[in-house]
Amino acid sequence: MKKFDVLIIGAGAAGLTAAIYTRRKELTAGIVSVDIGGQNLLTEQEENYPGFTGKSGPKLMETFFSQAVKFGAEYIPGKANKVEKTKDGFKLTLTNGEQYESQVMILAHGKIPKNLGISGEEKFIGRGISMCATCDAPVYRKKNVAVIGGGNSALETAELLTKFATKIYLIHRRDTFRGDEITQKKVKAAKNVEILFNHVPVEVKGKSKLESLVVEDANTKRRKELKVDGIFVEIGHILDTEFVKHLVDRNELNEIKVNRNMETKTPGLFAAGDVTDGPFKQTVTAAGDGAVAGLSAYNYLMKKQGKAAIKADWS
Amino acid sequence: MKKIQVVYTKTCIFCAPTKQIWRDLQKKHKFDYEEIDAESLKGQQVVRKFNIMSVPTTIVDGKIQFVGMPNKAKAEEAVTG
Repeated sequence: MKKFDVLIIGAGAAGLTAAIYTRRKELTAGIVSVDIGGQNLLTEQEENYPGFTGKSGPKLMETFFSQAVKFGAEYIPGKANKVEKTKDGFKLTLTNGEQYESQVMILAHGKIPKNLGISGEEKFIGRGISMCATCDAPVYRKKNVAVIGGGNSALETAELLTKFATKIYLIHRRDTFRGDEITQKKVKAAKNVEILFNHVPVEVKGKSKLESLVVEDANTKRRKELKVDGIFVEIGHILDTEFVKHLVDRNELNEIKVNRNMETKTPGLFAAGDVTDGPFKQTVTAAGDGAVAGLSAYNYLMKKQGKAAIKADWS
Repeated sequence: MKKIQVVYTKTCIFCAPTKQIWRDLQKKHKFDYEEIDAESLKGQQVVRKFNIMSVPTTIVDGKIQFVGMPNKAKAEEAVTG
């Protein structure tokens, strides 16, 4: 089982900053995440990140990631499923069964994309069900697709796909969209978009490849099967802290309670960014949390080894 | 000799670091390596042939081996194994 000094869960602004700071202290650092960029992947323009105006959130995160990798952090693609406290630190098990160990752990996984939770979904994630429209839209040229959701993300995904796909079904469980009027107008005017209001997805079907999506009319309960090659899920994000609930205290929003050093109630376990009970959910505050968590993790290890901890760090 | 093909799009955040993993491995190991833009003519043919639904996709010796960014150790195993 591979062992790191620090395992960081999440690769958004908090996690990647923690990786930069821990690597600069020459701790071995592994970053476990399903994506790179977190919530910033949804930001079209970063307007309030100092020194970085007018560029996209994904572009900013690409810079964070390159910097973390340049300093030697190792990216491990995957989703954290179980964290166990061991004698020397923590053992992490991913949903794919891979296991890693670390002396300290930083939880920085923010909010993660919400799944549909319907039959057949898991089988086709990455093989027809996409969570990253900007990445995958071009491979759906001349294909039929479905977009699930009614907010800005869903509308923008549908609009992006109009340039590539032959037909787009936009499926929303309510009878009106929540997204901006301007984007709504563009999507409604597109000839290759068919909007299905009051419909919910119930099953994804296919043998070796995704073949169709079964949707149900929320009023009549009548079902129909849409022949699609791809599905884009844009139904929002959730905070998932269940897998560490035995090691942390949480508030009523399931956010992890931390002190000003980003420490949780378990020694050696830190949290940073949107996953914490911090009052502000900004890229810059997440990055700040990540730096504090990284330096606190270093201090924890130094104290454990009987060495002096740093009080101020100007490097 | 192993043949590695990475299918990518220009708009994908995971594609550049994925290409970097394979480029770094090329400095250590000998294998044929090709980066294919999914939007190019060849890319569209490859997307159709392999029924690629997500990028980056890495094809090893004519078979899809990684969808998404591969783990470095697993990528190395794919070229040495």
